[in-house]
Amino acid sequence: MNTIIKRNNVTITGKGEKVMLFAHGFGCDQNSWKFVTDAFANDYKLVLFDYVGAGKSDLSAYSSSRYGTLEGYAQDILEVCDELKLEETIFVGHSVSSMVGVLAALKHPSFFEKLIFVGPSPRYLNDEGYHGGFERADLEALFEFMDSNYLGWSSQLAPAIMGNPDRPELGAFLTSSFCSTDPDIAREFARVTFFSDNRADLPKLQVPSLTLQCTDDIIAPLNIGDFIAANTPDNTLYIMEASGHCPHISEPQETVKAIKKYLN
Amino acid sequence: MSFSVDKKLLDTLIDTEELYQNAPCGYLSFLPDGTIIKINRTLLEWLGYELEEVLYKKKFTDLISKGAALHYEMFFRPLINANGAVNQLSYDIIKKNNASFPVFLSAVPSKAVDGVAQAINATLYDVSERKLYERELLISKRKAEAERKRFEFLSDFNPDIIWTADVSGKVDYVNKRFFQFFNISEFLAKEVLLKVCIKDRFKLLRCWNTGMKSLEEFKVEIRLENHAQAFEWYLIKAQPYFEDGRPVKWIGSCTNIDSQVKSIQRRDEFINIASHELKTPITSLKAYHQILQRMALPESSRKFLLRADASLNSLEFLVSSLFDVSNIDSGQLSLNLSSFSITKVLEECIDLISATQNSHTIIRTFNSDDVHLVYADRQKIMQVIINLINNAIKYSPQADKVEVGLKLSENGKLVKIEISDFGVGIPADKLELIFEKYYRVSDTTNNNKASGLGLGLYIIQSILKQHQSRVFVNSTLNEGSCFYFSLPVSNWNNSEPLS
Repeated sequence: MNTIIKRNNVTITGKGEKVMLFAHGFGCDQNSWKFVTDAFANDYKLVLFDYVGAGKSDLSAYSSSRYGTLEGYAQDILEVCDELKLEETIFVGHSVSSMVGVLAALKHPSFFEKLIFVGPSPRYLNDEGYHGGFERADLEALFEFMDSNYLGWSSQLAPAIMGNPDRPELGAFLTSSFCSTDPDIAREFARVTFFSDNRADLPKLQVPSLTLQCTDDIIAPLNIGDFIAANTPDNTLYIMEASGHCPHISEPQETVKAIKKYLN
Repeated sequence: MSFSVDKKLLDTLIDTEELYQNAPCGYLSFLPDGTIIKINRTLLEWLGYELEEVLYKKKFTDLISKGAALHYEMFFRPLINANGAVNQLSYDIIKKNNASFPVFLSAVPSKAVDGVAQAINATLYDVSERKLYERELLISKRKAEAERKRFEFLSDFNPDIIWTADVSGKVDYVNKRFFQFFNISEFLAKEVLLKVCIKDRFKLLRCWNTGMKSLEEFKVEIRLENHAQAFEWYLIKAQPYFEDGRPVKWIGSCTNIDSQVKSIQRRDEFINIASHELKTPITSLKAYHQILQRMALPESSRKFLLRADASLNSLEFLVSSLFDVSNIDSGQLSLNLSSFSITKVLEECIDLISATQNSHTIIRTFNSDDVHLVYADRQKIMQVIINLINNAIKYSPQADKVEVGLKLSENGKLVKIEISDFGVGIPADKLELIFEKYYRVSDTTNNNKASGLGLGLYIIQSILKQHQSRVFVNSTLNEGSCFYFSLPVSNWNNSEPLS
């Protein structure tokens, strides 16, 4: 099997010609799309994948230097497009994947016809004149929480337990209880995500885009949608009734409806 | 007979409501946005809230820190939808009085027909105690980590290569020196073997494999290719490390011994050449000495001739010892085998020595009439016996006798030759050393000054090893020593008439 296809655990379904490329958000894998993909399967070819380090991707392909910035993740998208010879796709990115999609579209606009952002944010940290929703201390609290949540063990201890070759069932249990199999990768991804700042990239985007903004999302507050709409050429803002950060999971019907409305 | 039990009876046995309310764990049900819709009494008590303060008024995220709430939004909600459960998430739950306690939370969604979670049922276990143990464990782990770092620092500090391996022999640690020498970033047995001189590879593998199997320490000398593509000698040492009587690890080193090995080689080479070159002039000297003895010389010069003879003999003995050693070291000690009577050889040796000294009586404790045939190198066995008797005399200056014995083993297949003295004896800690090359016993009669070259016993042992035998020693301080060796009895007679 081709290395990129295998590396990013690419799956292709759907009966249509036009390609919809789904990119999962931080902390999950392509399974998070399972409530919305059926609605598009008749009209589109659906391409789903896991970023290196997530889901069933090839963990050995992970390197801190490549994936130390969002560009590394954008490279995954470009390589998948290149490998499958995809052109003018409809890209759907959740959470941090929205900005990863922007980075990919800046590098290779012809791969994309439209970008759909689900709960996007160009910067999570508050800044002068900008409300991202987070102070540095909040994020440190999240990292600390992640560190102490490794099967209920602190991550400092967990690798020793997981690395026990006599007890492989521990590792298996872990994969079933966590989307991301490797706590170190998850931690690095969290830092890359939450310390990213893509505000300057938005005005350069040439591909039309849609922002799906939830009403009550502590990760991406309401004003973020306005910020993106104001700073991105040809961006449509849609405020959803859905609350939370994962409308494609909590309110799949509304999400599907909003996407279809934009596409047609 | 029917096993159906009256439902009413069962209901009286288990009060489910009671079980729910007073369970040893907390039960909590909330909507996907976190709004709490049901909570049991146990959890309320842990939290310090009244029921009406919580229901529809608090969200699950109000009970946890902001970091945890972020996690709930980013992981918990997607996970519970995608995987259908979350297991053992660790949260610090905030009580009404703002204190907190650690819990493990497991949850399953109650799903609608479309598969989307309508509500979430969570079970919370108080894990305060486990967290304490975890902290202890963490401290121990950090301690072990620090210990390991100390070991690594120490081993990197060492100029030798240091390594450890698991019990099966798989190398699992090498120090910095290893990476410098082999110029690779991890231990690869194949890469290492490529640097081993091709002549030493089999030796190394054999020593390694037998060592690993027997779980006994081992040493092996090999040549390794250095950065200048030249071979240098290294000594690999390995020792199993035991914990609670169980082997857990191998600890080993690899030391550059090139200069030692080469200086020993140079010494041996020098001895070889020198002993060879000295033999010729000694032979001439002896010849001239014999001519002088036959000439009619004044009586006064006889005395000097006798002394010259003694000096010449001891010079010849010293040089021939060196010559023997260099033959042994170069593997050129060849045997000239024949069948002969060991009794007769003993007699000859005793006669020879008796003629040259009169301080000790040599007592035979064997029957001179017994004929015990052995198949060996007659000349060399004589050399062994003469050397052992001479030693016995030399190291028992206060005594006046030496005993020579001969015994047949019970099955009659071996004959044992024993030479006993009644001297000062050898201390137990020196018994192993005396057979080593150049080891010299301190001579108590001579102000602790070592005498001789320290080669006698080494040569004896080498000769006997060549005969598949060995010399052994029993010694008691202030009583004396007994050196003995055995030779296999031969059943046929090829050269020596039995007369």
